[in-house]
Amino acid sequence: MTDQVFEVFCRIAPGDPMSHIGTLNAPHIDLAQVYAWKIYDEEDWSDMWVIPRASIVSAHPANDDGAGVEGA
Amino acid sequence: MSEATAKPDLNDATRMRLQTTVVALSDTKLLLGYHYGEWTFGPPAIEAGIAACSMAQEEFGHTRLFNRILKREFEVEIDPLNDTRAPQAFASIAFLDKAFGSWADLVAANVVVDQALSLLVSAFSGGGFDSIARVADKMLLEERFHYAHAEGWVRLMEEKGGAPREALHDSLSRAIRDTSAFFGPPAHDAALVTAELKHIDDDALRQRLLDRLASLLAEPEAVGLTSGSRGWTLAEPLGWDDWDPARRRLDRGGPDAAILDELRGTKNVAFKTA
Repeated sequence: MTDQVFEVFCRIAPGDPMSHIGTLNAPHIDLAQVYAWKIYDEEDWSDMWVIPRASIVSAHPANDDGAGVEGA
Repeated sequence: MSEATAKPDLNDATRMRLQTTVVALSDTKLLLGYHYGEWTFGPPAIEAGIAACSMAQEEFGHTRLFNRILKREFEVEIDPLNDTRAPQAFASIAFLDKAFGSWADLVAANVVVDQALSLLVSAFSGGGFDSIARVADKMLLEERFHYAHAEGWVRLMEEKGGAPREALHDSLSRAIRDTSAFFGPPAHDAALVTAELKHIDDDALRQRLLDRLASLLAEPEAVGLTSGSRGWTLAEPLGWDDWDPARRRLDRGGPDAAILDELRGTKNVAFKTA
């Protein structure tokens, strides 16, 4: 099993926009959740999300090839 | 031993069993934190090193908390930097006695030892020993990620197969036996349950641990477990004749002197500030 890249998003207070705070490498989503919490714990976040980079789809017309961010 | 203040109605034997349980939690978390800290560098992924470092901080924090309880409730003072106890006086799980040979040892400690300590803490949640009961839930919340980390790595190494899986099984086999000993002979803690300080006895906690571990493995038999009428048990049962209730272990040894030297800052005595 090879590592995937995960993007990490957080917000400090409920209602705040979510902010991209970094990336990490992990072999699967369960470890990505742990790593995100352990690596990006500098704030008292109200929410944190990890998203596989491969699942992010570009909405920019210039990248209109249907590929995820990694394939763009 | 001095009198406990939180449960003055306990008899001496029960109070002593409670005290030795807290010492075992403190000592084992100290050693576990040491090993986690050691693996800040050298793990198979940078992220895993950061997680190990973070888990070390949490274990050291829990050790300090248990040491405060020991001082307040039992007038027992354990200061890791000024601890003069011999290795054979430590009440830590034997699997942590020596430096870990590989990442497989760390994963085994993470999934077996760490989880065993959390199960023991959980047994005090809502119980009559206020000092642990009131901090148990917060501690277990922090430990949730320790278990998620452990489970994630066990699953990964199981899926990888080959040498990583064999190494994991070897480490798990040793960790499971040493940790099973930590839970002691059946009914050794009956007084704590009867006094409603714990809501579940150590024998049931051991059973819960072994069942959870078996559920993570494709072949639990490969780590020395066998399925019985109660659930998963050790294929080769432990004998309890040599069990030391004060140390909660069968092994008469103790942590390596080199590890204790590092924990105590022996090489840096000249720089100590307290």
